[in-house]
Amino acid sequence: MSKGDPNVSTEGSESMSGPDASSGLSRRSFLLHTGGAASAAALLTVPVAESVAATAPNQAATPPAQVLGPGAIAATLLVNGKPQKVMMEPRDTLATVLRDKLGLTGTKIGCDRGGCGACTVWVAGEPTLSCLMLALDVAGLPGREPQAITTVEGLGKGVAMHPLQTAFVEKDALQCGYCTSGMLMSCAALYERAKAEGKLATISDGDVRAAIAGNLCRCGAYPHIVDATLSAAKGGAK
Amino acid sequence: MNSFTLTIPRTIKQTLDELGSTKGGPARIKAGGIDVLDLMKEGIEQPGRLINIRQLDEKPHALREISEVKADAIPEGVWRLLPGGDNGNPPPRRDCLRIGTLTTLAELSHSPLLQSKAAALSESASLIATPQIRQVATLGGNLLQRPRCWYFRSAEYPCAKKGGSVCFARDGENDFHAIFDNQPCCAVHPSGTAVALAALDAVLALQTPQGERFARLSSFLVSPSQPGGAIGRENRLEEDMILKNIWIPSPGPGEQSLYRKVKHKQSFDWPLAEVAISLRRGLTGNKAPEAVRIILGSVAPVPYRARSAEAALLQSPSFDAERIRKIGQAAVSGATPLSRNGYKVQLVSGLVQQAVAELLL
Repeated sequence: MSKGDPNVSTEGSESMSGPDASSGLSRRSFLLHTGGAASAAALLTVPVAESVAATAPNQAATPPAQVLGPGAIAATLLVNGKPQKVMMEPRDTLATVLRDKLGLTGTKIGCDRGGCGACTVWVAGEPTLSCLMLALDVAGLPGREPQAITTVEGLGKGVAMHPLQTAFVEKDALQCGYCTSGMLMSCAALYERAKAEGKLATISDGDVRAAIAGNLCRCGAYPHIVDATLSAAKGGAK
Repeated sequence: MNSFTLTIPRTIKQTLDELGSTKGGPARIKAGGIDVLDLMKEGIEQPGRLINIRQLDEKPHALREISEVKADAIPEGVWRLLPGGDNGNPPPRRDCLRIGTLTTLAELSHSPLLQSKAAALSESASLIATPQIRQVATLGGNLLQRPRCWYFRSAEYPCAKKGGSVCFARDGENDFHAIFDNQPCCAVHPSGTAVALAALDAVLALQTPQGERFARLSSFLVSPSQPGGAIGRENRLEEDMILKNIWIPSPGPGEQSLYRKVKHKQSFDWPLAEVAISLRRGLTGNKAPEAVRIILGSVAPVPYRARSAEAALLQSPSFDAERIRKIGQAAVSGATPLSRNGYKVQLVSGLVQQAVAELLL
């Protein structure tokens, strides 16, 4: 996948590409154009990964320990199927890199301590807290492939929403919406796992509750979230 | 979070070399990172170097593996610390389960081997935190995480555990604090797997620059009041060591274990009280209990062995509701609750009764 591939787009990279972003004036693009110049600039001046203070792995001898940072280094994140080189410091969490460097603001930061689940993304298909994950832990580095990250922006295919997203709309599975992307990632992981095992029809109320045990919704939309997931599972099982 | 250097060693030796190096300031090991990142975000710890062992998996140490090892292949250091030895005689050799400390809590929860041979451990792991955290959090990190006392966890309170002179919990909000051994620090040990592993007579394998060392979990974890204890730490891990594997004797005939946890919020929560029991019953007649460990969690600075309850259980000629009630009462004998956690005495007693009844009725 090359840079500028018309088949690959991320909301963030478009909205950060410059003042001519064509998505119209949104709260997000307004903020980016007025206050986000620094992060946009960071995205555009990416040194190559080879400049990282690390040694390429040697087949014969054990290579030395890799030493990264403390300053920003370039590494590749594989987000929603698209490899992207990003400057990141060792202390940058996956949540902040997704939001602030890649503009993928669908992933929310709630407590920033692993207690609320708002920042849930998939790492290699498994729901994971991006606020307690160092971006460099999942990034590609010399001698190491990046792990596949899926965010809520990558859940559907283009304008086609994931069945869970459709069901969340139909069943009114949110009020303020802040927990929604994390809820979707947890529920969709349950859905995809069951689908792969041919067990969509057997997803139970208890399965959904267990899947969202780590996602808090302070509006209390839980019953509708469970309904939506069961409805999507029922639809998908047909 | 403070700025730091991230070092990614490829071998255990490189890890120990990095730990021993003083270049770049003090180092901290990071595996899953759940607790370390939390502490760093709060400013409780500010290491200049993080040594990231998350992806370290060096054969034959099997840092991320659950396996069963035959008796004749058990390292001598392990089997000498297994239960059953007396009067200077070593315990009999027996098969053991070996678990790498980088194994995730999700892997512990889902392991059929552990579910059948170390139920208490797999049950404890499955009840910790949330699905997302279990996916990343490791067994080693769960054992070595710092306590959750909210005064300790707040940079605004220079509590005794952080080098200050005051325990703010003693006369403060101590609802979730210790009811045993609660001087000079009343924070409870935060690890659910430690409670289960204590009941299962686990032995730890530690790698030091001088070689491999072994220790019983029950002597590795140490409260401030115990010999060798200190208020600023929860265990005997030295700065130049890493925790490598956990060994548990495989259950023999008549042996079983369980773990139960009471929490306020059912979806996920820190425990109010925990109990893990391992029990060996006779194989004939009325199958009377022959050996038992009853370990209480979230009641003391380290997992608390309820010896009075063990004795009451072993002395009981038969089991009915009244005798089980007495075992529960014995479990909390000697408790010294604080101003706001008296409820734990009743709660723990009831929890022990429930667990014993599950095993014996």
